[in-house]
This record gives sequence, C-alpha cells and structure tokens, in this order.
Amino acid sequence: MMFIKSTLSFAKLEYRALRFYPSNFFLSVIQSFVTAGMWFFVSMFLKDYAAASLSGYGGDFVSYMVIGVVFFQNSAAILTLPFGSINTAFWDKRLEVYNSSSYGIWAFISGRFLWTFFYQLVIQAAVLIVAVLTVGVKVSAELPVLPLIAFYLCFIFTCFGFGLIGASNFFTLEVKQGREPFTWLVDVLARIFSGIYYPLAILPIGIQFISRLIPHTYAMEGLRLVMLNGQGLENATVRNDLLVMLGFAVFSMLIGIWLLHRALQRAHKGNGVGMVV
Amino acid sequence: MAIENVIEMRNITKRYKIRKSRERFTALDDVSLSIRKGEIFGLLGSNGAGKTTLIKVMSGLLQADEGTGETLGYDIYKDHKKIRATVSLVAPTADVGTDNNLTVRQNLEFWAVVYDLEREKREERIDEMLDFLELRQYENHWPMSISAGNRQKLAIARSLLVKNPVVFLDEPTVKLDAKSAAAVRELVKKINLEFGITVIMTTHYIYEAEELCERVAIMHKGKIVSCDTVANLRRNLQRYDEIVITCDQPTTEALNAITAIPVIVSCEYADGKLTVGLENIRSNLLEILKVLRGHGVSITEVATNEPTLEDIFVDTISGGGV
Amino acid sequence: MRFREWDSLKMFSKRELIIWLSYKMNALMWVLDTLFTTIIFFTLSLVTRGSDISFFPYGSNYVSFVVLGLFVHFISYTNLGDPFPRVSRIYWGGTMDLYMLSPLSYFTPMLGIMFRGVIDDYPRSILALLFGWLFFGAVFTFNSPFLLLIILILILLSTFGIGMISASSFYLFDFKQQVEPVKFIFQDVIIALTAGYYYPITVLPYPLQVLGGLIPHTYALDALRRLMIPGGDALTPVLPLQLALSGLSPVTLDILVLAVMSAVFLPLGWFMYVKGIEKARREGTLTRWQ
Repeated sequence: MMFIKSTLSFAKLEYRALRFYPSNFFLSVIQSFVTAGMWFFVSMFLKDYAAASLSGYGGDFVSYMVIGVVFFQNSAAILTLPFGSINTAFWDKRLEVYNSSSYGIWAFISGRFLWTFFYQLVIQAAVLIVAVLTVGVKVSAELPVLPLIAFYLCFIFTCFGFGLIGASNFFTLEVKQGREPFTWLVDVLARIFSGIYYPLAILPIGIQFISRLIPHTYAMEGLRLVMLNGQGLENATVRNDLLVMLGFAVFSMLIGIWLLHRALQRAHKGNGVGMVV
Repeated sequence: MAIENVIEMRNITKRYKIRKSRERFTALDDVSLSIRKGEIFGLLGSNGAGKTTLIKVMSGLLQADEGTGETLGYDIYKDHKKIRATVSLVAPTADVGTDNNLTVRQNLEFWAVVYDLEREKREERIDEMLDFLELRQYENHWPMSISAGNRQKLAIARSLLVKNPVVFLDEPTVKLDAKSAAAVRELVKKINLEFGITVIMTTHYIYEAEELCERVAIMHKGKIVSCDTVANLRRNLQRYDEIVITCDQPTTEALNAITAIPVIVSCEYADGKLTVGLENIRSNLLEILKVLRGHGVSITEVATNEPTLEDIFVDTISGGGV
Repeated sequence: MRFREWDSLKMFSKRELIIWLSYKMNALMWVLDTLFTTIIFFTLSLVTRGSDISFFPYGSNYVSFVVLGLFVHFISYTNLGDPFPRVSRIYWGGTMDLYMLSPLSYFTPMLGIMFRGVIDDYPRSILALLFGWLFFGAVFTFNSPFLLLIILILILLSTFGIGMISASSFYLFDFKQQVEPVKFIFQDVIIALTAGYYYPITVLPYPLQVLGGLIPHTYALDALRRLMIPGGDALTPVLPLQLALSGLSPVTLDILVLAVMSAVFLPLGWFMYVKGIEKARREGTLTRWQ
C-alpha cells in the first residue's frame, strides 16, 4: 500500500512540475504532432511506390506509417524513461534521498512511468485522432478494442522492462553521461528492422530474420492488423503476435526488475547510489 | 596614486523581482561601507541578510538600483567590466567552475587561459599554486576523487592564478568538515599576508569572522547594522569581558584598589562572588588577583567570561546594536 | 577578435575535446547513429526500386536527396540548437559569474562550449555524405565548388544567428526551465516539417511551403540539391519565392535569401544576446548561485 502511495506521489510531482511550466505540455504536444506530421509527408511522397509492398495492410502507406510512428513515439518515451529518471535524479543529487526509504527509487521510477504512460497515451491518442479526422488516415471501422489494448499494454511493458535493463547499466556499466547503450541498441534495431517506417518485405531477405528477434516487429504487425484491417483474435497472426508480445513483456519486466535490483544492491555495497561528495 | 580604500559603497540599494509577482524583495537597503587595502573584511549575517548580493555588487556582477560606489577606483555602473577583470571570486560551492572531466592541473590550465594569464607565466604560476595550496600530490587526480576541502582549495587556487588585488570569498567553508575548514582559514590568512590581497569574505560562522577578520560588518535584512573591529563592536555594545571570582568579602581598600586599575569598568560583590567587568581580560587578570591576595582576600575559584561575536551578533540584530 | 579570445576559444575547444574523448562509447554510438540514420532512409528508398520516381528539379536518386538533407540537418543542428543549451549549462553550472569575472567577451564562453556540438555534428554531416556515397548508392557532382562553399558558409551563419536569438531568450525572456520557444518553433516545428530534409517541399500543402520560406534550410537544400545531385535542374523555380520572383535564377535567389538572412539574423542574435546578459546583470539572474 505504501509503495502505491509513494508511486502516486511521484506521479503527482510530475503533474505539479508540468503545471508550473504549462508551456512544456503544449510544446511536447506540438512536437509529437510535428514528428508524426513529418513522417506523414514522407509517406505521402512515397505512397504510390510502397503500395505494392503493403497488400497485407490494404496498401495504405500513409496510415501504415502514421500508426507505426505514433506507437513508436509512445514506446520510445517509455523505453528511455527509467535510465533518464535515474540519471536526472543522480545529477540533481536526489537519488540518495530517494534511496533512503525502502522502495524509494522503485516508487520514483514507477511514479514517473505512471505519469508518462498516461501523458503519452493522451498525446498520441490525440495525434492519431487528428490524423484520422483531418488528413485521411484510415482506421478500421470495426476496431477490436480488447486486442488493441492488449497489444498496447504488452508493448508498453516490454519497453518499460527494457528500460529497466538500461537503467541498471547506470550502475553496472557506470554509464553516467551520454546515451545508455542497451536502450540505444533496442531503439536503433527497432527503427531499422521492425517495420516502423516501411514494410518488412522491402528488407533484403537475408536480414529479415533479425526483425523476428525484436518485439517491436510483433507489436507493429499486430497493432496494424488490428487497426487497419480490423483483425481480432480470430486471426492466427494476431493471436501469435499477441502471445509473443505477452512473452516479451513478462520476460523483459522480470529481467529488468532483477537486473536493476541487483545493480542497486551492488551500488549500495560499493560507492552508493549518490554522488561522492 | 595609491588607493587607500579598495572599495567604497555609498547608499547601495538592490531590489529583486519576485517570480510571478509584482512585488520586489529588498536585498540591500541603503548600504554604505569602505574596505581598506590589504584588509580581511568580514560580512556576517544569517541566510538572506544580503551578503552575497553585496558581494556581487562590489564585484561588478550585479547592478545596484540606487547608490554609488567604486571598486579599485572603477565606478560600479560605468566600469563594471574593468572591475570584473580585476577581482576574483570563490563561490560557496567548491564544485562551481571545477570540471570533473579534467584533472586538477588541467582545470588550472583551463582557467589560466580564461583569466588571460600570460602564456610564459602559466606553468610557473600553476606550479606555484599547487605548492602553495598543498595540492601537488593531487595534480593528476580527478576532482571528484579528492576531498571537498581540497576541491575548495582548488577553487581558491583558481581564483589566485592572476593574483588580483581583491578576492571575494563567499562562505568558503560552508560545506567543509572542521579540519578542512580550518585549513582553508589558514590559507586565507596566508594569502592576505604573503600576497597582500584584500579579502572580503561572507560567512554565517561567527567564530570564523572573529578569527580572520580585522573588521566585520554585521548584516541583517539587507542593512549593515554594525561595522567595526570586533573589539569596538564589543565596546560599543558595552559587552565587556568579565572575571567572576568566588572569594570572601573584600575590604573597601581592596575594592578601591581594583577599581583604580585603568581598564576596569565595573566591580561588584554579591552572593559570595566578585564580578569585575574590564577590557581585555587576558592582560589584566593576574594584576587583579595580585591585588586581592595583597589585601588578604581568600580566593576559592576564578571564572572568566568573554563575550563572543555571537553575543554581539545576537545583541545587534535584536536591537542592541549601534 | 583579440588574441586572448582566440587563445581562450582554443582552450575551451581543447577542454570539450577532452570531455568528448573520455566518453568513447558515446563517440562510437555517435558514428553508428549517423550510419543507421542513413540505413533507414536507404531502406525507405528501396520502396522506389524499379520505379520511375522523380524529384524534379532534384534528380531521381532518393538516397542522394536524403543524404544532402541529413548533411544540412546535422550542420545546422548545432548552430541553431546548441547556443541555448550551452548558455543553460553555464547558468546551471554556476560558471557564468566566473566567466564574467574574466577579461573574456560575453560570447567566448558560449562559443567555446559550443565546440562540443561542433565535434558531435559537423563530422556527422561529412559522415552522412560518406556513408551514403560508399554504401548506399548516393551520387554527387561538384561542378560549382565555389557556389557550394558560399552556400555552406551562409547556412552556417544564418542558422547561428537564429541560434543566438534562441540563446538570448534564456536571459532576455527568462526561459530557464521551460522549452525555449525560438529553437522549438524554428528547429522542432518549421524546419522539421518544411525544410524538406526527407521529401521535396512540393509535397506540402501550399501554406506550409510558404512557411518553409522563412527558414534558411529551404533555400540551402534547394540550391545544394540542384547543384550536387546528377540530373538536378538549376533553372526551374519550385519554391513559392522562386515562383514569385521568376526573373531571378533559383540558385541565385537561394543565395541572395541566405545572404539576407545571415545579414539579419546574425547581428540581431548578437544584439539580443548582449542585451540578455546585461538584463541578467541588472536583475541578478546571471547564475542560480544567489
């Protein structure tokens, strides 16, 4: 119970910070729209050439691209959140204070996750809705909601778990500045191999297998089948993709929690979690 | 023309804007002071008294709203760039200006160039500072791997690279342990003595001001409520040293003999104790005891009570000041 | 600039290089980032394989098209986007007071710390061209090296001018915790959408094309693509301003506009930055050490 209360407190702290600087909210909304807009125009430019590779999704490259970018933006924010949180708190000299309670750091990360989850959900949903209403992005009229939510949650928790693995590197690999390599690698592989920006069919056949190693591939495939084609759990690909995503989510969360826990313990025994004063 | 006073401030007032409000906070309220060349001058006050703001005005980092002043003969409004180029400053946090990605020596090399130290003199001056501040053994260490006291010494070394005539130290020992703080205080005396540098330091540690400073300005709520030597501050507040002697009732001649000593301010016997108020207890205690013994007074116990700067500070800010 | 400033700039640069080199993993990821970005667009270009795609007047090689976009993006990213965070770093690090207490000009510390961004991004521009050419089929011509050099200098100057305007807002308009709006509006909105890094701006609705006319990137990319991509046409106007002033050749107009933007943004940014510092000095907000 105390853990939940602490988590909610940290989430509320983020909300208060945003209220103090409300312009940050508007600017992050605009940024999400601009990123989606940029890829929207890329897809508009190339749509006639990509249609042949997208027969499985109705041939609509614009909708394919926008859906991919929206969900990817969402997941990327969650992926980098744990490391970013620890990094910021460390350099602000707050990390040791948080660590002084039994689950302080966990509540801190969880609180920020909770806040970012809802924050990103609202923003990306807005982007998608605007895209559907104004620029002709098409979403299936018979959208199966449960598989959509299931895919979304599995994707988010997979990314959060990977993010926790990345956060553990703050202590394990002493990555105190710059980019964290594990989440960077996940991000890069996802961008190239998971079909966010283009159909996987155009990748050279010899390297297409790499796509199957990345959770984003299954998430993108499943989400697009659900949203563009209105496919539900009766579709074998949707079912298989969802099962794989569930496996990834459970696996990455367990590994992430374990690795971060171990990293914190090692830090506690070594130089501590805070800055040496 | 030699400058007698390196700093002259007259009726300085500074008000800060309060964020998201139309109100202004008066950080300095009609402050005037003069600081002599070669002096160690203390600014004493609790948090928010205006010490740092005054330092910033004197160093040219902050523009006053009202009043006039000169630092090293330069006008604080028209010549603030020249002032800034000829004074040094050590911030309260030792890590300000210290790059943790550079070694101790590399940090000094960096600042030697920034402070426009002549190329031919750089290595020599850096070596001089490393030796002077006993940092030689750490010259190739990362700042985060040395103690906070040594990092503060590094900050002082940085400020002394060009040996500017005036150095501002803003709470130089605030985050240090007792031993490091004592070492820094010794350094302050040393730089003043050996280089003749005028040191203006802010502190809210009373014992520090008492130990180091020739004169102290006590600040409270943006005003200087007292500014003088510690001895004069005591005198003005009529806070004298006291000797409390537990003894038999002295004779009238004994009391008269004690009162006749020039430094004695008061002399009272009550409840078995003789309380003598005087200036400078250390020079006169023996004489008083001799007088009492000479008149056959039997002494059981002697206690002394020297009012500290803390007593003066508390008295001053609670309205007992000059 | 006086000798002392050059000496200090060199020292700042040396310091930033030492810091940059001490994070070798980051340096490696930085190189790989450029490669992977090029890979993404190369792969995207594969959707056009075997087609008769044309980017008139910019030739028909999508990789060359995008790689030039990346070139301008990386090179201008530092100039436009770096000054503000560097001023912010000086402020939050408490070192602005220490720099002010030196004989340096207001600009030297900021310029010196910007060297970090220069090390990060300028070589990335070259790497993008190199990777594109070496691995992904980008082809370039260098028939007008003098013009290319002028365009490069003007895009650097004009974007730096905008960067200085952005940096000035830190003190002038007190944007200390919030996202800085000049940088945001220019870099994250207008440039991202309308510069045409990844698509010709003729794809955009006309109002966005006009908006794109406010940024130097549009003209730099238009000129560079016409001159450097085989099959590029130097004569046919496509940008709104080129269509409006069709008496001038497109490349000439691009260079003129870049020159005007440089002449306006740079002094304006300079002036605003100085005013910002002086305002901070008056208000006591130079650093967070109070």
